[in-house]
Amino acid sequence: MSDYIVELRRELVEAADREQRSRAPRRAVRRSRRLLAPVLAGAAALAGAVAVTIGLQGEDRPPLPARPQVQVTLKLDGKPAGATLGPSSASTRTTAGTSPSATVDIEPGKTTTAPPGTAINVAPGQRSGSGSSVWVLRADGALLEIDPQTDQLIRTEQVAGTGVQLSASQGNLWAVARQGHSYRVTRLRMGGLRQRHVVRGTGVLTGLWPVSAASSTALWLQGDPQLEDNAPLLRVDASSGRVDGAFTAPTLSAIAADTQRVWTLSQSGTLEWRDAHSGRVVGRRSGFAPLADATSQNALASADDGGAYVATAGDGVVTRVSADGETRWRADVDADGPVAAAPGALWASQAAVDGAPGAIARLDQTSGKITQRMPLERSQTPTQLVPVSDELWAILNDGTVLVLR
Amino acid sequence: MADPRLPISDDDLLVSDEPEDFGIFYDRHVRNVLGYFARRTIDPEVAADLTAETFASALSARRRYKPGRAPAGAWLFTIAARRLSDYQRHGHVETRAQKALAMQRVAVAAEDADMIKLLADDVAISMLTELPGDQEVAVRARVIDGDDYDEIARREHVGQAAVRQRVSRGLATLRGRIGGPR
Repeated sequence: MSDYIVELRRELVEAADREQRSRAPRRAVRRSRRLLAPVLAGAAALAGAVAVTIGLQGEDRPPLPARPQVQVTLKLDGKPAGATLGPSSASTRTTAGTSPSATVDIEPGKTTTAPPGTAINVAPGQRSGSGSSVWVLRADGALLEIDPQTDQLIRTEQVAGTGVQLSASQGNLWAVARQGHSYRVTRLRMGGLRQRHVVRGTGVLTGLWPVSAASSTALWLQGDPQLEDNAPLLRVDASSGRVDGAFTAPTLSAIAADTQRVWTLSQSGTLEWRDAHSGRVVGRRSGFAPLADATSQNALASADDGGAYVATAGDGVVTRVSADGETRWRADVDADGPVAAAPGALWASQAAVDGAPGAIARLDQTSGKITQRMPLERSQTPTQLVPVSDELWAILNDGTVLVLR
Repeated sequence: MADPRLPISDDDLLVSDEPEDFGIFYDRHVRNVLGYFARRTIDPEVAADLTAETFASALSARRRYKPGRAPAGAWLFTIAARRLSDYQRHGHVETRAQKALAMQRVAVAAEDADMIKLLADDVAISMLTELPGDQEVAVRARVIDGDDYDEIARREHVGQAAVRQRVSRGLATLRGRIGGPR
């Protein structure tokens, strides 16, 4: 082995060893602080106004949130790459590849692991649904359709390559998959899943962060900028399935799109908004936190008034911007990962901090205050948040689907 | 020699508390990272320094690595691309991550530079088969597979000096054939 490679390895392993030894006492301090926090909060509650005078509210933390209820926990095999709420595939539904005896009943709040192709079912009528399906794209290219009314796995489709991301627009599903040294975008048109268009990219997607977003008229995506220099922002027409626009763009960390507007957030922290028809940049605002490192995930979600929600992992902040890019509110919530806007609520992923598990937080749309918080297990991270009717479907990195209401 | 720990996934290696596991992660990716930088900077010293800073950054950031979001290799190359971008913007290689970890800069010897150039050059790698058999085996084992001279010598039943000579001659031949200085 080269001397350089050997020497650098030795330096790194020694550094890892030093870092490991220095972490133990730090962890103990942090743990004790964390254990102390609820005690102090309890004391503050008892002391009422006295707590203010002794400064326990100095950090201006949001009020202690109520826990949202887990309606159902489903367990999907494999690693989900993306999920979305989309149109159902057919009016007559069948459970693919399963026999009635393979059906698994899941009680609310319980986790059940089902083998591939097994129907997942809860008693009908337990929950309301929107009539649409929840679609999950797994890393192995399996595309699962789940009926949110019954939690049944309706069918499994396969797209070629490694699943990277999934978006939905009216009547269309867009599955982005990596295959060899290029990426494929497969459009699945509902009504039998038979019509397909494959859009081949010239660059390479390595399965990094969400780089695509769909509206009812188009899919917007950017190839992997690490391996495709100056990767353009591509617009794929929803009706023809063809790339009908390629626009110069910085390296992006998140995209959100509706029929009128496309929001993009660059890795360096510049928010741009474009006219969805011309692709022209109509506004730009810099100063958002740059993507701190490769482990973080920024996110964007369109708001119903033409504005957007911007979640920047670099500083953990969710910012509500209006249609003209002005800040409405700014909430420091340890944001890291996907956000989802639903009528009356905004959902955001919260980072795991100092070894403590992450969470899914519900924010008030008018103030940004956390109103509910759902802690996750230690190793769990949301990969996608999908509002379905009055529920939130949280797709987690370990294949768990949490249905929250 | 087969490493019994190889089946451990990159994800497991990154989240492990065992320092040696980061070394295994490094072993799996260091040549690709060196090749990535060498192709883009055409300078083995710069490629080596960027590689050191990339792995130092990865070591610092590995606690925040989230299995399931992106393959560990892609995660590493995102860091690599950032370091490359910093270098292109500032004109020098940042060493913040290495300093924060109290790491020493590793010098790049002439042979290391040759190895890095070779890693960058797909043409050169494809030309390995045109070398005399003993040189091909030696260069492939040393540069591509990263074997020790001692290990190669034992396998080939020759002395270490002979292996060094074969590697040196093989690299010189490749340099000559692809137009580099001999």
